[in-house]
Amino acid sequence: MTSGRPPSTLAQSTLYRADAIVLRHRDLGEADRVLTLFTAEHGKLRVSVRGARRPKSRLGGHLEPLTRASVQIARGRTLDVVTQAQAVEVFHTARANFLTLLHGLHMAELVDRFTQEQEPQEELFSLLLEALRRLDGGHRADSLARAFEIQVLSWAGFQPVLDRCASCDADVNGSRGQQAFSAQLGGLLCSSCASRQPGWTRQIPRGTVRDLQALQREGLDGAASLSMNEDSLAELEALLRWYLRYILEVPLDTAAILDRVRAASS
Amino acid sequence: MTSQPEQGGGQAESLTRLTEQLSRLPGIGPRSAQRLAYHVIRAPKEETRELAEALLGVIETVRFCSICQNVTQTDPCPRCALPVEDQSIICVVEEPLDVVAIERSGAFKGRYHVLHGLLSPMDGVTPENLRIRELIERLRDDTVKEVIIATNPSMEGEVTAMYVQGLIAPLGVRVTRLARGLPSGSDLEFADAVTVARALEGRQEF
Repeated sequence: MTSGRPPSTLAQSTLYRADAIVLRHRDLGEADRVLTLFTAEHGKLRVSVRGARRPKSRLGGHLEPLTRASVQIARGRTLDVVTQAQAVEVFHTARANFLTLLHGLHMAELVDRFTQEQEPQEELFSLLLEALRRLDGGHRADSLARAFEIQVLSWAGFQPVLDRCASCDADVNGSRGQQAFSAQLGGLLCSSCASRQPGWTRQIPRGTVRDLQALQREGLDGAASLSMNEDSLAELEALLRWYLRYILEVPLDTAAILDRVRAASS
Repeated sequence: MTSQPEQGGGQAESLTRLTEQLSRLPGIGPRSAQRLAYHVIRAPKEETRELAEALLGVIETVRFCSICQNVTQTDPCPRCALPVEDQSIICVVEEPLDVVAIERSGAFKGRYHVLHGLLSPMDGVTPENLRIRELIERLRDDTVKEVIIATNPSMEGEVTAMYVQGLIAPLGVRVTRLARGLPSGSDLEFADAVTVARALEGRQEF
């Protein structure tokens, strides 16, 4: 306002709106926060919220992680600043249960890791929103998370090759028992190629291959239709976590805490 | 820091060092650090010596209480060493400043436990990084009947509360959580949906 420009011009040129899902937040200074938003219109954005941690903040409560909010943002010098926010969907049920909440945060972390700032990704936005709605609607959290992981992988161009050898295109359906999966080549390997692939290859049971195929075919619906027992779910989780670790080159932070929580409760 | 031209140009080395150290403090950027450093030069020597001694005094005398994990000069801290009004209740907080906030209310008469952080799933902060094990140890004898989890009403605060609750519940100790609702003197119109929902859930007989 010190620039001497009339307020109306200022408002028109520097404000924009977004339909946003809050992926994560970080404290800044005494009472501010930096948010990572995933928006339908502008893709991923990093914005600051002044005074978000004060009890009487008009914004803070509307912008907790995993909230979908309608926000108004002003362009700032380093970070853009949220000036108004109204929570649209808070996913109250998903938030109330520990494991569900952690799986929701896991999905948010995946989106955060796979996206660049300011690249609109409407398809991924819809996918995350739908996954959070299902999580909130009582769908089984871990199988939903696996379905989400497969969808994100496909979206990012890493859909596992499951119908033929990822190296030589040979048929792999005939083989029984364990099957080799290469993270490097992004799919199954026939036995002769498997013997030549040293690093980042692991053996997976046929059942896990079938689960992966079902999830690829049916999208998020696949999560509900799978009748997976605990062992095959654990196998699938281990495989996808390992594959994601190879692609992202870092382990997922939410996975670490999920492991601790499971260990503590068993 | 060394990449900044104004830092290099003939400035005394000790001054550069002070500026660098000051800029490590939270909320102090390179500019403010430089301003503070020049203030130190201009200020009376005695004043600066007192500041330096206060800083040294803090690192030499302040430690963590072996019981409640709060910062203290004596171990156990005065609060843990002396009998409090209500021995049967422990209030779990994120950091020492939260103890100050609750003490300011004058409404709590029990003991505290400071976790020194919150679980943060997306930053990889796991239970081992916090003083949770020490809390569980304190519940082994039967004096404690209730644990109030007073972590922030944020995502991290909730995650931590749920985790701690899961560990304590099997021990047969009552676990409660601070109420979430409308801050006094605020406007209902601006409250977010979660806060309003919690305020409705936690409504009380008038």
